[in-house]
Amino acid sequence: MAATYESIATANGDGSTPYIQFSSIPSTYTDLVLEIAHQANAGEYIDMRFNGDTASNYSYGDVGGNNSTAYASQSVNQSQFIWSGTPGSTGQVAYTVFNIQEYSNSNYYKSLISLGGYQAETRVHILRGLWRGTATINTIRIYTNGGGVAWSTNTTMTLYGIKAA
Amino acid sequence: MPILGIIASQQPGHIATGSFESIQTISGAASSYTFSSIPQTYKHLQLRITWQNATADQDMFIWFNGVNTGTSYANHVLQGSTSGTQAAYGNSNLPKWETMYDGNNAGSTTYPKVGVLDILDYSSTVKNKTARLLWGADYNGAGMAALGSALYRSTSAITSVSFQPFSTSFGANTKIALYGIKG
Repeated sequence: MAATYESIATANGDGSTPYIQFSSIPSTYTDLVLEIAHQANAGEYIDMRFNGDTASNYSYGDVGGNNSTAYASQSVNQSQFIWSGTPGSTGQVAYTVFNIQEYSNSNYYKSLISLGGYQAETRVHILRGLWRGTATINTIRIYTNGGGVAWSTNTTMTLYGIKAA
Repeated sequence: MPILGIIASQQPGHIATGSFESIQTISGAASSYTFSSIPQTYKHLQLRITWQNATADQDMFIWFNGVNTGTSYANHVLQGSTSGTQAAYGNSNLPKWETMYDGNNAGSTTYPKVGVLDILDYSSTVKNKTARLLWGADYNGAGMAALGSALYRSTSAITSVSFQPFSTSFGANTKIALYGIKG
């Protein structure tokens, strides 16, 4: 039986490059799962774009807990996803798993849902996101919110494809 | 020459083969979906949901083994919508599991609700059944992110799972895919 849940690619931070990009993503799967173990300087959130789109086509929100405080947030008409509250500080690694459903379906915009935990900020949260594009996602760029700050060598990102029957 | 930041786009990581298998996919316009005669050869089940409606609907019902009356279900939810609007709640003694509620009735043809539903130890005949649903929807101005759990008070193995929108029907581009995970 062909693999249903398959690793597409793995990339590691090199300590000098400010982003990691998955390109030429095959369109043959149903969903994508992006697992990120990330570390940079403290306060470096994950920013993310699909297909190089820099227009205001992104919106997102989250709900979570930070120590004893629960919270929810929302942002609209953004030029990228900014998954705030996801810093991986020096010496600590933060973990986030993104589920990107129906990434190659042209009938609707692309929705994603995610879980993340970050001991450096004592935070755990659930993320939702929408990219208002109907094109197949063939590129995912993940970069630090600080722009020129590099992902450390302790950063690992793996992209999986899930194929439905 | 590789472009800086593009790393190993064709280099595989650990390949998971054989432990996560696609069982069945249901899609298209319908008043409800039912996965029946689920094989009992896996350890856990996962259903991946992309729900698109032609008209907005507030939430959906899920039930197991055809049981959608009585008091066999309980559920808890942590959810957040707009900034500063978070909530947690639970219900017990329910006839079926009501979930994926966003309160905005904003589901539409281009803004799908998505979710990942895990049912652990579904084939056990000595345990009640627990399910977890991570789901979200974003409408660029409204939306919901949530984590929910449900209890199905039955030690029967789960052989079917049913889904039904609260008041409408699944749109033509809705898809729910069932996977089995081997232990």
